[in-house]
Amino acid sequence: MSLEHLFVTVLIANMIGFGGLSSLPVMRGQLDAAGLQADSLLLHSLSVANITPGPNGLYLVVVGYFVLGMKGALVAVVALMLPPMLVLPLEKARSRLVHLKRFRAVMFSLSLSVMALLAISSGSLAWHAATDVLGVAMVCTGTVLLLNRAPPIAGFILALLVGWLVS
Amino acid sequence: MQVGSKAHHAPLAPWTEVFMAFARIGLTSFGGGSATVSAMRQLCLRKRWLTEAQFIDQLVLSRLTPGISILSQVMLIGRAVCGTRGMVAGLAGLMLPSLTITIALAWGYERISAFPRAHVPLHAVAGMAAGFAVSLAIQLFRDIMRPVPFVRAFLLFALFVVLGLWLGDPLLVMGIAIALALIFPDMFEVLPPPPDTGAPDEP
Repeated sequence: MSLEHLFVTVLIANMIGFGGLSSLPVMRGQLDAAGLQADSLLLHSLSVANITPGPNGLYLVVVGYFVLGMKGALVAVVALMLPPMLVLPLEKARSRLVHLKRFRAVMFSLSLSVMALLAISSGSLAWHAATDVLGVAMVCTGTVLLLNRAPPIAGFILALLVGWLVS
Repeated sequence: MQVGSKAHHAPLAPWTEVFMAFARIGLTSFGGGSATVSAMRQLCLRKRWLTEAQFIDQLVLSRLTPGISILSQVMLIGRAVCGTRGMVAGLAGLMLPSLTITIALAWGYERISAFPRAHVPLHAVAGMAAGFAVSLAIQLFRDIMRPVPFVRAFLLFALFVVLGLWLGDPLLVMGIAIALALIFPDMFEVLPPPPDTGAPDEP
């Protein structure tokens, strides 16, 4: 994957996603199309991003780093910073847009489709990680921990400890 | 060292203050978007940069913006405090510490994963990360479904799941979602328009 391709991939995933991990389905599709092991790459990137401060979307920078090193990370940062700038024209147009029935319909329809695609992607990631008893136990534990608002760093440390004890 | 002398601090330029405040958040807001938004809300109210209503208004607008919504909101907050300089200072303040830590951890993760003894612990960490992704998907599902009529929204959600599994191309599914909403807006009209409406709906 070239730097230009990575830039476009992250930009598209970020442009269509609306924060958090909503860019995950598009990113997974793009990585797959580029012939990379998407699920494995995303799992390792999410592992790192879960223990860093800041937005969850920074996992895209980790993907960039794992694919093309420091240059890849920097290209991903640039691609991450561009879409949020649309807030400035959107702020001017908001009062007109939010009252348009079709605009509200598109926003809701996009939310539903992103949610559906995220369900498929996260299911695929869980399937990829749950290759043995340890993997299944960790997927279940991670789901329950975050649903109960436990700090991600606690889950990370727990997984490291359990993995170390099992190995 | 002068004991008992009164320390005099020159007041910070507004953009420096914005930078420092967001850098502190960028360094300490572990726990993803909700932790960062919560820290930003406390900051804006404590420093009287925004009222609660203004903060929520910006939150909604940033959620409508493509990309990482927190970055959009930081831009709006920074600009409200001191214009373009504040916008740049806010973004730089939030991102520099987070990015430095993220890239350093990615570097460390890559090095550690080369050791054979690290494979099982990292496999466990990957499982935990997959669980977090499942959890975030469930949370998003709850957030989107809470204020809308459940049955209709769930049927539309199920339709997109089937399309996603069948077509296998997320961009195509999202394109279909946009086309459906433009052609049949009533099917997706599940929430009333905002109360401060002044402009009429399009026909």
